[in-house]
Amino acid sequence: MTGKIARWVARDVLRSIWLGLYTFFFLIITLSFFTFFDDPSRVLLSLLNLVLMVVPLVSMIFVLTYLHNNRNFIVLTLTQPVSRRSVFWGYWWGLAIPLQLALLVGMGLPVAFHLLAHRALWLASVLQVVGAMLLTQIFLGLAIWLSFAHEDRLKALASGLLVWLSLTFLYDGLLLVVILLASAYPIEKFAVGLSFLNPLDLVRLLLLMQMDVAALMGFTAEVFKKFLGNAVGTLAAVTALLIWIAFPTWMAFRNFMKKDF
Amino acid sequence: MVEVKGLVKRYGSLTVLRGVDVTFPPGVTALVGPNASGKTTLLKSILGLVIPQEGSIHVMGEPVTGHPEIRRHVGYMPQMVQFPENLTLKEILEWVQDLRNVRVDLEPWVSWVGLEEFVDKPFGYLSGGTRQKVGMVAALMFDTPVLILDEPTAGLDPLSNTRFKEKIREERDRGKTIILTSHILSELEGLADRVVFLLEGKIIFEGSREALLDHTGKPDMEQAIAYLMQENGSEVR
Repeated sequence: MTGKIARWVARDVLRSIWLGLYTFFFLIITLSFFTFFDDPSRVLLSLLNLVLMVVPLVSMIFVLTYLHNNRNFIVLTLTQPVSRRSVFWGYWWGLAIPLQLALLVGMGLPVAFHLLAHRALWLASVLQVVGAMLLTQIFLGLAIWLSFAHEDRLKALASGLLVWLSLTFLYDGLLLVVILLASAYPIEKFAVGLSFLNPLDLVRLLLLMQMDVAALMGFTAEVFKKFLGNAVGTLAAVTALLIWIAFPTWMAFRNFMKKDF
Repeated sequence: MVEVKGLVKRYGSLTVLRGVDVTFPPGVTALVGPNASGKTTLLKSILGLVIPQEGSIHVMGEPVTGHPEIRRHVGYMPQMVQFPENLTLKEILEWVQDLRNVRVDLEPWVSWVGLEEFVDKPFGYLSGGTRQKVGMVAALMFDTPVLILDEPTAGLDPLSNTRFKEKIREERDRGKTIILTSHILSELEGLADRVVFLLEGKIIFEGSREALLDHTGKPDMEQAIAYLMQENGSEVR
């Protein structure tokens, strides 16, 4: 039943004009970066900055809006002879698949074509796309959790934006303050620990560790590499990102199973 | 047949249903009560949308809680009918059939509500009344023994309204259990055989329409219910 629901949700989402625009946006941007920058590491860094900003925001807002607009239908679905579990996972997959497809087409295709011609930085290029997909899944989970935790659409939207804002801007600011204030102490390990609290930072680390652009790496990436090494560091970052997908999804699922609709 | 026993539902410190015992036998029962009387919570409990703290609900003799498959007996039409905007009417009705693993010939249903020309239009294009009709079809087409209709006639044009009521009477005569709510009590007149009156989470009256009129000494349901509300309102507060 999960599969049936997911297929119908995906069919509805795939016809959304907003999803089309999102795909088109990444397609144009990625293609033009590859056209205008000669240096592939410059393309990846520019793309990284864009991904870290746009992917979480779009995933969050898109999912929150979709679930809100379809709330009454979700309730109607729950009055049919299907389990809540199937409805939850049906919507989870039904929203995830189109959003991931949008990234694969918008960013994955141009990157793949580029890799056919130039092998430079292939692992970083792949991780770029994978990182964006992981972020999509994380913010999808967060959005589903927030959507069913709030009855009020505005509250859900406001809390979604707040989460995005905190992870995108506030966290960096706070980290900077902490590092400046504690500059007399050995806080490297502490800074590495902090990175695990922010999925955006983890994706950034994941990519920069592969690129060997020490000057661009920033403080945490350097420390990360120094303490954990390349392979272990990558593995640690990926594991942390998977936990970032699992935790909000699990919270959302728990809430959905016992919620009064 | 729907049987509710000792149903208690609390939202935090607010108790919405205070031990509701009620039976909905075959026939049309009007569930009435002022706003915040617990009507919606009672319907939602029967539908499995709300999880009560105490009590039991049986539909066609089978317990509802923890058994989603029991809802195959129930057709439901919500107050606010909404379907995915980008899917066509035909796709939406196919989706609902998929959820039940049942195939129904859609043509007679579509022509019954006069929606032939809208079959391939996305739901987002349909007007309010047309959407209501789609909801009606989605509730009725599975020929379920129990029908729960929450304010079904709101937004329907007079012709559709008449057709809908005819259909309800037809289904009643076929032995179905139909639970109806409406704010417009005159809508229920001539349709409901029985009345359940809920106030502040308790059943105040349960019986036939005639018994209600006898009990209150009023000439029609609207006045009888108004009388019950007035009488009990002053008692409760």
